[in-house]
Amino acid sequence: MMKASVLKHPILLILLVPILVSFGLVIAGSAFSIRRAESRVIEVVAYQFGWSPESIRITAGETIIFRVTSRDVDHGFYIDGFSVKEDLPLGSTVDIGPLIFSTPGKYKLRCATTCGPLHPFMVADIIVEPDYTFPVLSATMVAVALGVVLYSHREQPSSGKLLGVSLEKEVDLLKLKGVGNLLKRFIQWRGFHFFVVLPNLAIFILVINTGFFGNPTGNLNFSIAVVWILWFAAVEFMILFGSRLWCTICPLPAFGEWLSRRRLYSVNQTRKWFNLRKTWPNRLNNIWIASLSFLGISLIVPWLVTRPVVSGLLFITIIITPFILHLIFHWRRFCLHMCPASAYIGYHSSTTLFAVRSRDKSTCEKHMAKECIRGSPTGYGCPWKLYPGGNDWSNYCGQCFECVRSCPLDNMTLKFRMIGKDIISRARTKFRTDEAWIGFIRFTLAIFYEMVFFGPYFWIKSWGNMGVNFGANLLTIGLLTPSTLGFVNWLQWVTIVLSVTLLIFPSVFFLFSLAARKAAGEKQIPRKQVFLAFSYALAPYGLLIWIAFALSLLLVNWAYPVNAFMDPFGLSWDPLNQLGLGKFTWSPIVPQWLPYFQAPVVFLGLAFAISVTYKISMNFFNDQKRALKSTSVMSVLHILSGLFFLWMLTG
Amino acid sequence: VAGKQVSTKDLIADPAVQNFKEALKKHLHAKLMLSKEYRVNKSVRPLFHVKEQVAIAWKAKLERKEECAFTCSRFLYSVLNEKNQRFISSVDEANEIWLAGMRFAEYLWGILDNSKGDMQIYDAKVEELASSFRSEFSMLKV
Repeated sequence: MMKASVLKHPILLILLVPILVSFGLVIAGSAFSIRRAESRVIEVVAYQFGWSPESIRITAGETIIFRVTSRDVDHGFYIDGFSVKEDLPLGSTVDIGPLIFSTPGKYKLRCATTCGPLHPFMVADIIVEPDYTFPVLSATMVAVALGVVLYSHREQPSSGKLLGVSLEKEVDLLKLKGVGNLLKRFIQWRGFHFFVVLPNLAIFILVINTGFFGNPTGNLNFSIAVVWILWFAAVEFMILFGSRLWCTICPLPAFGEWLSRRRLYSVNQTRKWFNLRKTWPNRLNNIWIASLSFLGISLIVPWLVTRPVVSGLLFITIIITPFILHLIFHWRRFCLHMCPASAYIGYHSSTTLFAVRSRDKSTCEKHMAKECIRGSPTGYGCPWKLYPGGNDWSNYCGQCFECVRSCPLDNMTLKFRMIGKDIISRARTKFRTDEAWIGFIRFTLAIFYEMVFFGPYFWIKSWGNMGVNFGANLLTIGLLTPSTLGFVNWLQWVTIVLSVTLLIFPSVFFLFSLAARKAAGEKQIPRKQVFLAFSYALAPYGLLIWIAFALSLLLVNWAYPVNAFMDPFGLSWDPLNQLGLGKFTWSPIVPQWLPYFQAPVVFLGLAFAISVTYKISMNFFNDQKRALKSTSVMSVLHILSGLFFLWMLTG
Repeated sequence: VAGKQVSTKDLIADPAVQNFKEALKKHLHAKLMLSKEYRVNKSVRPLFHVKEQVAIAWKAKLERKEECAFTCSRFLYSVLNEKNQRFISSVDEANEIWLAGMRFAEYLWGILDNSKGDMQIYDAKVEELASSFRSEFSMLKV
């Protein structure tokens, strides 16, 4: 059965090989390592928030004793994949080991005792040589890329398939046997939105409160643990499987929308909205502000994800802003043009498995009333200012399901479909700079986030952190005043991030698109169009790279958000202790296997990027040979970007 | 013409009213499997919903065209509601109902414009229409 399916879809073979190779590599590595009898002592110093040395090299089979000194505060010692967790009291020197490193690869040395705001980022690399993980995974990545290029070329252009899967096949979720009708009733129920937003709003209010008044240390604070670990990681999976599912339950626009409609959930039949109905400036009718807000937030990310008060201030700003905008403008202007999360959630939503669509577009075209725009007694007109009946682009569909409720023809539904359909048609007709740049921003930031959160490079964390070693809530906010040197360092971090995300990567991408255009022998189609169209390949690639990052975030730090729910203010509450269920001890889940879960996700992203690029090339050049040439050029860039991320994980 | 001192006969003869009545007859009255009394009452009920919606929008000084369009949706949903249906399967039928509702809503809006929002006149005229509809519907075979 399996054999038949692989033969029918050779792409499965192309994508499965890397996973098998990755796992085979680990098993082979441990089998061939030679155990050495003598022990080697390695001296290590722990300090806020790094290790010296940042990178330790060991030969496979060596027995190591770590002689660790804690320089400034209490720390802890933990190595991925070893059942060793030792306390390192301030000023003490502790011998840990002997530990036998039999399997080559990259291991993370982590701090296991909360030592300050950047504690979760206190990481060093232990490289057990000969570490052939990166070279083999790199070779596999190149093989995947070549396989996908050739496969895309072999696939009939008219087949309407992407990576062997039909783009036309869709599952109507509201017609699914058993659950479809139930789901339909739930979504069409007017209280649906209120019902899903309300608990989320309660959590959000708790997030703001704990941000201001909770424990000043990040990982012990509800706002940090729930938003910057749980939500931040979970939202990536939500995008892949549920598109803008987060927007469905997001509490941010709730107050403004309720007030402007003067209703909590029912439809206001008087239709007199409580707002000034001002016109949104035309020049802001894009996602530039939203994209730059996301980038801006990322510039202070070391503070944001470790200082509750900074998160608290951000959250209060992003709940007040949509409220004010709702009083001035009609529709969800904040979500459409300003929300930092909406910018990237929307961008990636075009390449996800889920969409709100009409069952039959021609019915919608023919239908004169267009309740999905205008509203009906059972549902409001689209608050995202879309024509849902004709929509085939999920970027700006907030999945509030008002169109499903308002349509009297029962023509709106939820669909499960293959990734990529939207972008291929979009890249043919729309060439938007703002959408291209959110792609560049997201793609490059994934690498920066991986570097700051899980990389061993102390200097970059310290620069982003402005050299401040304190956590803070509202009462201790003064502790966050940076020194002049700290501020200057931060400006260097800002310069690096801004230049890479806004200039360097887009420029490199532009040059590659020029080369691709030249390779295809194209002279008529404007360069800008080719550049912008090719950038849509970053939508699936970027999403999957972020999912790879989210895997580390969740599997390493899962205990923090779980404990935060038990003790939101970080006051050492342990409510389940009486029942014999205490808080969870920080203990990463299979951290030594993480790169082997992450690498296939990156490969899949690369496969989508190449395959989408080929389809876009076909749209442009309408010739398989020319499409192959231009895709090959763009693939080089995609491979290099993927290799860089892979190097962060395993190199 | 709407809102001026016109006879009941002229009022009923207006194409917008005729259209609306025909839509009610075709899409609601003819499809209700009820006794004559219930059928007549149910068939006229959407008229009052339209009347109510136009009055709300007019009083709130909302935009005429947009609100008349919304009133049509209310009309359609009212028709569906009387038939105990949530959806309509035919887009042509939906368009027919919508068009009839649109013209009628604009007609009622005109009555309010011309009477400068005098609700007594407005209510009286709609009541006249309702009685005429009732009597015509009661003549139809079940």
